Amino acid sequence: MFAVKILKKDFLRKKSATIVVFAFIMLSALLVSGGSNLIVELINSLNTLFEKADTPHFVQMHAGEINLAEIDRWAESNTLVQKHQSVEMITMDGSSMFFGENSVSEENSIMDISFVKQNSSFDFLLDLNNNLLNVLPGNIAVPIYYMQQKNLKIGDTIRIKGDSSDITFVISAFSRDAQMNPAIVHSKRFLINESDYVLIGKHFQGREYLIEFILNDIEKINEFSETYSSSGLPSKGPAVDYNLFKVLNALTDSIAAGVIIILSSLLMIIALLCLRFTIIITIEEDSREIGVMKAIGVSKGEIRKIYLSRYMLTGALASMLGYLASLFFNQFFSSNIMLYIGNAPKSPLQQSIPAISAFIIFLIVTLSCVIILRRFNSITAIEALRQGNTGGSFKAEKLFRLKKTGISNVNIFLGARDLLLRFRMFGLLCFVFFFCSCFIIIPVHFLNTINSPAFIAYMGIGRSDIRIDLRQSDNIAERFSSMISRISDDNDVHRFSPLVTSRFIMINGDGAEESINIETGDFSIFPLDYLKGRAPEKENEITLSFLNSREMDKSIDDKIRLFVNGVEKEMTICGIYQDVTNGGRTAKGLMPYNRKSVLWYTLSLDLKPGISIENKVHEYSESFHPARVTDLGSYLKQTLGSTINQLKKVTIAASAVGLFVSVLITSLFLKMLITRDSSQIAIMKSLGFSIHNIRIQYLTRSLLLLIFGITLGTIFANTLGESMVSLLWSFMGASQIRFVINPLQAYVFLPLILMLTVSITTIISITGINDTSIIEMITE
Amino acid sequence: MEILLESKQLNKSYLPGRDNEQHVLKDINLQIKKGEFVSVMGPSGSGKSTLLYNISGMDRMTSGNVTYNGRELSALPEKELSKLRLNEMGFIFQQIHLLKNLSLFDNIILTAYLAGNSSRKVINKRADELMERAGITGLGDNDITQASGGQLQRVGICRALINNPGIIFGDEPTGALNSKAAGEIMDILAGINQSGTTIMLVTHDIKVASKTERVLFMLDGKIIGEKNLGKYSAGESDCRSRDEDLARWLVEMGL
Repeated sequence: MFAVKILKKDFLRKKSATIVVFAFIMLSALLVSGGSNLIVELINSLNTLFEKADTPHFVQMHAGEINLAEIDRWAESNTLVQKHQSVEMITMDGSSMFFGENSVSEENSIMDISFVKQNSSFDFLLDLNNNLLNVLPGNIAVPIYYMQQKNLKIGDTIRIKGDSSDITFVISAFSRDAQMNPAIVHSKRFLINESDYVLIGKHFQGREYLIEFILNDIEKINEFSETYSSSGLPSKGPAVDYNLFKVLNALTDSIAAGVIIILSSLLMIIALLCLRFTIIITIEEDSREIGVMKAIGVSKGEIRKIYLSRYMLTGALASMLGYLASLFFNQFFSSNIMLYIGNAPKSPLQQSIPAISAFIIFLIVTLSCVIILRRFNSITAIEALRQGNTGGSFKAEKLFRLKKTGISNVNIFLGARDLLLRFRMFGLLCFVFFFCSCFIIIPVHFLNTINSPAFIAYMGIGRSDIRIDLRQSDNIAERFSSMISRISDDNDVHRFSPLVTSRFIMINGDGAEESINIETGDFSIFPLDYLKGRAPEKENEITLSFLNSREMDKSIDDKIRLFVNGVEKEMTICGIYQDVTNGGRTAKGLMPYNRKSVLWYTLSLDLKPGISIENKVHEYSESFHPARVTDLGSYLKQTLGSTINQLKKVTIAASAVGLFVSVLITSLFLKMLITRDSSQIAIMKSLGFSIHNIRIQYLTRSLLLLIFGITLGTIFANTLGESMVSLLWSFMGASQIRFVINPLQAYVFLPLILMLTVSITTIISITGINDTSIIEMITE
Repeated sequence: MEILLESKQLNKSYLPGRDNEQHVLKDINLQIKKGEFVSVMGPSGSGKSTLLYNISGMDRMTSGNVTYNGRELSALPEKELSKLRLNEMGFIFQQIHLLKNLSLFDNIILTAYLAGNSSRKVINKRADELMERAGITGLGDNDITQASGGQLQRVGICRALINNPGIIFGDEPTGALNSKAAGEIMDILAGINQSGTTIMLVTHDIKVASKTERVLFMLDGKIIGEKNLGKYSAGESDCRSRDEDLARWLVEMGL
């Protein structure tokens, strides 16, 4: 009870400071608890989902002919395989699909849509309670992705319109699909009844297969994957394994958890700095009291205990409240997990992790207090009694005298001088400004970079006017060659370069066979930017993407062994480039492509001067349907569109957080500062300084600190910030990102916005100077 | 002589309208002429300092009015009052109240630089002259922890004079000093008064008050008497008769 009394007294004395420190500790406890809960929840739920869905360990997607008997024979003879199945899917063009009463089809959707029936052995589609889904005739179970995107409800309809058919389904459930749940997976399975499947199959001819395996030993996925790819079994499409399913499912949420935890760490640093500031101010204000205590023989340790108990109590209450609040917010944090992955019961240990995290926050706060309170050791009783301060605050410096200054405005001089004399104290605000400007500038820089045409340097492609992508479809090879002959006859075309991506077998460092996707063609027509080296010039030369080179541990002039047309050849690595597409693992060479395992064809072309790119894109789109024809800008937009959109949101959120934190800390800091400076302010007012004069002094302090903080922040963002972003993106394939900086935005608008915000905050926060008067000082 | 400062029905209450209202100044009518040297005496709590701060516009009166040089103070906005304090009034406090992080010289010139009425060169020269007059030449570069109470009060006087004010208000300017230092400060103030500056100060000390021209006596928020002692010249040899004269009067007043 006694401690509560002390806290109450402290709170009443320094309301705003206590509230802010309390809020920061609480917020960081809330975020750390929430973040750790999210991670626990994610791991737990994901395991449950994969268990219930009986997710395959290895899936080979295949678009083309299939010999089921051959696969069965191979699987049965393979000792690694426990169970296997080949799932047929009816693929459908988006243009045949209409949601609800919507008259616009899914023509422009990036998703590959397919229809399936429930599997009998494994790889089940589940309902929102993680139970096996069974769909009655006329009904359909729709992936959660569409439920969210299209805002669908049970009872809504889906219309499938073919050349000779028009079928309407009623949505009876929403489905969780352990393989294809996440938005980043561009394939979605719709579940229908077996009889409907037969019916639809008659009208729609497109088929794709999922050749799925469950292994005896999940540790042997890599070994199995190599065995499969060298077996000659169907492989026209990507192969995906259990681990990748997990990563893909967890990606969105683990990024969120990571961001939450980073944010809470930063908030905690700020909380600790605020705490330090508050403690120092409190000690200075109480120094006479401390002097008296010391003079009457109270030991340093005991005085420290009194102060420590105050802040421990604040820390304990704030962390506890943060933890309790996280219990309510958890639902909000994990709503995405709940929806996509489902809920799962947690063990007592898992339940206690968020509480433990909050407790760790409390420990950190306590430890910081102990360190800060060491200051007591250096104050003697006499010093504290005589000077009324604990040292290190006011000191007239011989330099920087009013008499000698060149600054014509006395108020600016006084503000700037005070800043220099007490820079240690102002360090907190400077750090916050530095941190906030980094927090705003780095995402803005990166958004600019990813939005600029220069981003092509990180996508493993050269600069061209138009790009045509031809993915798996019937007679793909014929279509491609007719496309080439049409383009070579087109007088509007200045130059063009056809490229074919196909799968090759290479011998890895362990001597085992491994598959690698290689784009082949002439890379001198539309040259890439290379991190190291140059484009391949001979048939035995190859360039690797950054991620491939890192994973293979190969650099320029190293060799790799590759099967070209069934013959093993030694290839020399002559270049390394950045590429964030196709998982970052690509390679390019001059050798003939592998006709048996072509993945896709692309064709880049430049038009002659004066020819409209827009018109040509339109013309080719019509002639080469279903190939995707895009100009460079659209290609970037379509490929990176969702990333850019997300990054926009992140940038807006980061800017808001940055501004919010600057406002909060500036106001806290200045409120405490004017309380501390009240006697000096009162003296100045009695001498004829107006409120306006004093306001200018404080604005000078804030703005000078801000300018210093922004300058440091900008330097940091442009150097280490760039490296940090590069490091993050190196996992996706781009290791040397150079920011494209919009100088007007970065060096004019952003600083101006910050300056305006901080100025307004300063003016509002120091309204207390109106009430400061020498009369009060005298009557005291 | 021309009236510089005048109060009519000046009232000051703390917590007006409440049960625990304190009526500190009651209908004060006072005139101070240009060039006068007036002191206010009275027992503690009689309202001396409150009168000084209200009549100087530092505090806001509850009712009545005060005119300075023809200007009604209660009608002036805060900004104008600041300007008035800066350019036309000087203040000397018992606790001196120098700015902690400035040197003594910078403390003196601060308000003159702020007012910007003369060039900095002229201001610096005037500060040097004032310091010489106050006997603190050579201390300018010291900071406030490197000077005695008497020296600091002299700095306070120089600061009050730097803008050539029409009037100087002193709230117990010698209250924290020993009698020798107090005598020296009063000699300086008398000298300043002789050169034409009006001075009004509050004091407990008979020896200080006896060196002023007119002494007002306050009790319970009212001026109940005044004594004219005539001009005192700095360094005057026979102060004793002024002291005795004033002491007798104060006994009559009931002190």
